[in-house]
Amino acid sequence: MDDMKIIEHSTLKVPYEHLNKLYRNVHKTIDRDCSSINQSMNQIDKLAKSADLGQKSELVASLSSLVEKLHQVKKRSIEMRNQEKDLIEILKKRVNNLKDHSSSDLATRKLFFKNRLDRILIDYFLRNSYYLSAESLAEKARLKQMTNIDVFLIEKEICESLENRETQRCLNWCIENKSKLKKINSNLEFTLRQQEFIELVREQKCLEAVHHARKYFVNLNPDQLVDVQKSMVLLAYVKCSDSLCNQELLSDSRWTYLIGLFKQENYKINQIPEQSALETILQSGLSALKTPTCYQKVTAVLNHNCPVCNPNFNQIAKPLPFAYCSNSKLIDAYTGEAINEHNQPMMLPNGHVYGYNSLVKLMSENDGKIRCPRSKETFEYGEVQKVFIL
Amino acid sequence: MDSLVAVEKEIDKALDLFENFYDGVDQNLNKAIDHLVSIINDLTKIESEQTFKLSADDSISMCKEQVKELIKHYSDKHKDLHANISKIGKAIDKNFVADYGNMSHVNLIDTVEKKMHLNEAICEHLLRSGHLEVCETLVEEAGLVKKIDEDKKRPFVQMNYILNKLKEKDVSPALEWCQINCKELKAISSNLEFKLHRLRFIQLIQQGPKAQLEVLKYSRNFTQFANDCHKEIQRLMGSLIYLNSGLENSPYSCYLGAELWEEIEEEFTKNACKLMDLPVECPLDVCINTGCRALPALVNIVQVMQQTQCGHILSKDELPIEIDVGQNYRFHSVFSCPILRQQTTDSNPPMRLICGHVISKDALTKLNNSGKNRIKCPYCPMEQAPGEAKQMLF
Repeated sequence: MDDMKIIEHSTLKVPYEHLNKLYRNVHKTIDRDCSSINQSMNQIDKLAKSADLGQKSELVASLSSLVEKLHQVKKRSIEMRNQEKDLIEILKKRVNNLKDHSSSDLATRKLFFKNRLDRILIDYFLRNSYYLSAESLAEKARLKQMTNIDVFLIEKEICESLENRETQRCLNWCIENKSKLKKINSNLEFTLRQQEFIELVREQKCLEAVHHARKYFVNLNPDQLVDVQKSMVLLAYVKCSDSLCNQELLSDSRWTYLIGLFKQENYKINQIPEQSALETILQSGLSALKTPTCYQKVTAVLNHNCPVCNPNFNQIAKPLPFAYCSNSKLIDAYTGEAINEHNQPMMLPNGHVYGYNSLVKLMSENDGKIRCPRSKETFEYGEVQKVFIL
Repeated sequence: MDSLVAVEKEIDKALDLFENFYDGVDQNLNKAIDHLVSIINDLTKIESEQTFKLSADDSISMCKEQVKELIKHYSDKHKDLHANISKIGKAIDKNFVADYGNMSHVNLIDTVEKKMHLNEAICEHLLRSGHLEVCETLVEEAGLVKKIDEDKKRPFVQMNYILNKLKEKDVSPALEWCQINCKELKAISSNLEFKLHRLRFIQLIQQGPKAQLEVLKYSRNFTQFANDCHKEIQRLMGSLIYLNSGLENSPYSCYLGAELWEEIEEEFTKNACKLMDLPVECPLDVCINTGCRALPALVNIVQVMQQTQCGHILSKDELPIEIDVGQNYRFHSVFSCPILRQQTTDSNPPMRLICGHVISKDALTKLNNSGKNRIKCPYCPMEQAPGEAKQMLF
């Protein structure tokens, strides 16, 4: 298993789902066209069987209209052919792009990793509604085709409409994706209808609210029934602004909940993972780099280059597990070199440890005396003691 | 790689089948249209009642057959294509891991503060990689205006300008920068300036014999490096022999490689970061690279642990397996006590016994259990008092 298998699943699955959706629409159109042609043909057949010379022009007219129909079907089929072909081509392009991961040329691989990080960032931006940044980066890095920006732009429209307290767009989306939402047992449509009911009551249009309830609160499962019961109470307490149940149902946080629910369902049916790739990879990376030293108060050992010591990541990595180390791995605090059998560890009288090579360097810079880089004390070589690490 | 090959196979198959299907549909439609048009033409010409009835009946029944065939082919064959499309989906699911193998445990970025930190880190990355406009857009959208101000951006703007010029093989801005920061570069014993002069020298040589005088004048720039790099300077002067015939077919052709230019960009970035007290490699890059390296092993473990219901690996104190991050990404010493097999920390530091062996403080305390004031090193016969052990700092 390599990292590409884990990270790139949605890169390929999302255009596949688009293809699937398009295929179903195309098939519906084909069925419609076929049945319409069938109808016309049957009509003409009937006409022809009982026709006489006088109805010649009628017969010819129906035949011409059938020809016209066939022309239109042909035009549509060319359109659909191009659409289906385009989507398959997009899939193919992405697969080709991903091949660079295992390219034998180092420069190609480097470019692939750079592009991958840019793609991960674009995905993170889109999930957090930084749409302009995402588009800007996609353009600069020429990665528009490899990202799923279109899915998120649709999401943006619907989220904006929900923020304006409008449910219609979201409902249209629910109807469009009805079968998929049903497969995942989604509660979204019901919650939207419930919210509409609450809004009607808020505006004191109680009769309309009741009609609405009659129309939409049908075929409910037990949980939904409980919710409906709660909302119905609202009708009774409509003038009472400080009742507990009112507060919960009338609060704005319901809209925020709706937006979150919509996003969640949108990701599910588009096969986009719920957590962003950036967070998942960061979790693993920070954890693998995290050592107790990064969180120690002794600033003398803070390594500039260590990402976990970086103040930003330091906070983020706090709840993560430390990296596991079965054998000691030592590096020299002065030069960053590895300390091992070729560069043996030596301890100064103040307890600081450096590699032998560093001591040689320090002595050459300071007339044969060793000046500890961290505590600034000076020692003779004779005061240095050897350390044995197993 | 073979996962991609498998998916590509299905995609190519689907493409072929779609081509064939639509070609067939096109053909059938054309045939049907032509047939109908000819029937129309024939019927229009017929004047007699009898012929009309006969031919109408005949030709229309034939046509009906054809049209029914066409409809059936159109609808059924398209339905068959669905099998191929779903094969693509199955290939993707089989060869790739969905949902990051359940690696995501809790939200890493669960507070507004953490999000701000992450966005800052991303801004730094964008500045380093030269995407200044994207960084500005992000600063606006994410509300980071106070944190990322002009001061922070300036050094990166300059660095990117010089890097871009180096990409265009123009060393003058880089040389200017070196001359301004001459003292600091010397302190970190960098030979960046010499390398830049070398590149310029080679550029001039490539201009051929007409640049002869200029080349000689330029070589005076090497005098300041006479002590440190005299061997290299000798080699460079030797390459002058090939001024006329060009360096391509000479023993000095290695100076023409593109790697030299890539190397100088890297060297410049390293030196600039050192001078500005910045990490050599962008922290976000390091994290992502390490993360991608660590993911396969971790996903494996998560899959195994799911069956044993031990809780998620990210909720523990330590990862369950060792991840080899490579020597480049080892930034801190990690001392693992050989006795207790635990990492040493501030509160449990490594202690050096008189004999030179090192154990953790907790291990030392455990050895002293018996209360006597003598402990024996676990690795050699040396005895000592526990207080004689010295605390170490790596």
